[in-house]
Amino acid sequence: MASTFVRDAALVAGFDLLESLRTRRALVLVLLYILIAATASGIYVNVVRAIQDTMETAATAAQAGEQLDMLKDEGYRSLLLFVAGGDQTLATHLATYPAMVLIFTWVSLAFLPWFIALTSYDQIAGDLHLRTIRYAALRTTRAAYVAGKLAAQAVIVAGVAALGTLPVIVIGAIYLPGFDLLATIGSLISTLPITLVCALGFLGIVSLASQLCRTPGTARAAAMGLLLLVYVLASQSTIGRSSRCSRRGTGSPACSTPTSPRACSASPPASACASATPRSATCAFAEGTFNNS
Amino acid sequence: MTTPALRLQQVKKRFGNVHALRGVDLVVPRGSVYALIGPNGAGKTTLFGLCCGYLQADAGLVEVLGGTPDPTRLKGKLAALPQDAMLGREMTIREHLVFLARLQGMDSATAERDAARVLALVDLGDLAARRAGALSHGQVKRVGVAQAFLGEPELILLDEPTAGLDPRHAHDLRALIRDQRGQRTIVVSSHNLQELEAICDEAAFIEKGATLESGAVAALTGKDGEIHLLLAPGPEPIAELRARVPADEILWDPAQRTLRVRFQPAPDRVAEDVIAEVLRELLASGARISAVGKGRSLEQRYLEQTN
Repeated sequence: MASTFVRDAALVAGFDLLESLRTRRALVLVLLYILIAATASGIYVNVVRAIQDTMETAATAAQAGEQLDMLKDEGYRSLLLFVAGGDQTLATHLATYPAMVLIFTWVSLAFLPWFIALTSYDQIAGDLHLRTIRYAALRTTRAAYVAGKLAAQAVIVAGVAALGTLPVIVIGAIYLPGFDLLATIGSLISTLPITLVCALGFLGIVSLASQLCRTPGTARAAAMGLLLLVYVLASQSTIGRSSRCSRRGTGSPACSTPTSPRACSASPPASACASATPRSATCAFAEGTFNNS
Repeated sequence: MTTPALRLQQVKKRFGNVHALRGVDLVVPRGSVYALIGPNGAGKTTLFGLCCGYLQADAGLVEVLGGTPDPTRLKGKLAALPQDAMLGREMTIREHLVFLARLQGMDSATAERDAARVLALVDLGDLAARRAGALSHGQVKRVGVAQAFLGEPELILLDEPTAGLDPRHAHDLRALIRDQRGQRTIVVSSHNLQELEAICDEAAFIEKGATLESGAVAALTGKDGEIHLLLAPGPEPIAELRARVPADEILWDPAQRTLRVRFQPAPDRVAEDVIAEVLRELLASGARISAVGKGRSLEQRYLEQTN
């Protein structure tokens, strides 16, 4: 029974994957995602250059090279602390990643759910609407069918998330002086599972909407509605946590938990989804500052 | 005694306030070609949905091939042509059929072979590599029929299989269905009663979600116990006929000029014998005969039942 389930799910997944590639739906998703990743990387590069110019002018005036590093470190540290919702441990961990990777991951987690909602909403609802599902429903169980559809979409999302890292590497290597290619690739690889876990969670929500509705239009609306609901709930959680931290101070236990229950929330997703494997803060800031990435 | 291919007892199904089925009773014998006859909205498609397991009955018994309509149990044994079901536009016909055949349990090579076989059955072998989105309505319908014949299903449910087909392919499909008699059970729903009369052994009239009448087509149409004649203008020797030919009932409709003779069939007196007797008497009296036939059409019978 279990082997039949797995075989059927694999067949459905293979067929759906092939169909998604033929309909160019996966291609559209890849292109959109790459466009967003490239835009975010481009904006980052320009901001870094502008800040460097400004700060170097100020530092030259002050004739204090050390002050420049201090300024950079302080600014970045404050930014990460803000992004981490006041969580010092999390901010320290985030600092172990190149800034460009953090921004890319943040952008990924902000946009990927909406891309998924726009491309996967009809995975089941579309088949119900066109009654295509009736051909397969006599030959396999509903569970195997849904599992196969979900697996196909998961493969597409994973592929898209992986391909989206390419613009970061290419733009960084071309436009950022002193870009550490290996460190960036390593960091991208280490953040990819985080992005994937969050993306698959959102895919699950979209799949739920697709199964609850009988027409693609209502499935799309339901998917958007559910995602918005998740975002609102996540925002509420973040706001509540930040206000508690600000009342108690950042050193309180509630504000330094390595992994928080608001994992995969929308704002700020990168901080929320990061797991804590602390390295030294000094090392972190040395690697994570504007200079190399 | 073998279990029937399909058995329904007092099956009821509601969609909100709409009673789609109010109590359907059916027994479809194995190996027969069975017609499901009824107007639009009678509940035929709902009935198919219940038999395929797409829907759940609110009440009553639905027994398919001796058990519940569970896709795991019926995998490869039950096939259906669902009404108005579409195919994914970008995949080719062959890919669709191979996928469905593999889902049915076949290995890749067998699935390829069987896809080619069923495409040949519906005269689509040349279009195997064509995208489903590029097919005409009739061709999509034929692909739907083809997928129903994948493998060796014991029971096939065909919901309006000839709707949208051109006359030649409709004729070929009727021949295909007729050829399956005795090998597998086929249940066909259609509005074309002449077609059903030609290909089916048994039939059921469904009206407003309930079974009006069911049984052998020959019995429903009275082919064994009734003959009809159409007389051309001229002599009308009805009284002489009533006096000389033994029959249960001789009905004359002067407006339509139709004569109906009902009788009890016996081994030594079948419909052909009665036709001979009646023709002899009428011709001897100078009547002119335009047409003669056995029983009444399924359409007439259906109209009588539903009026």
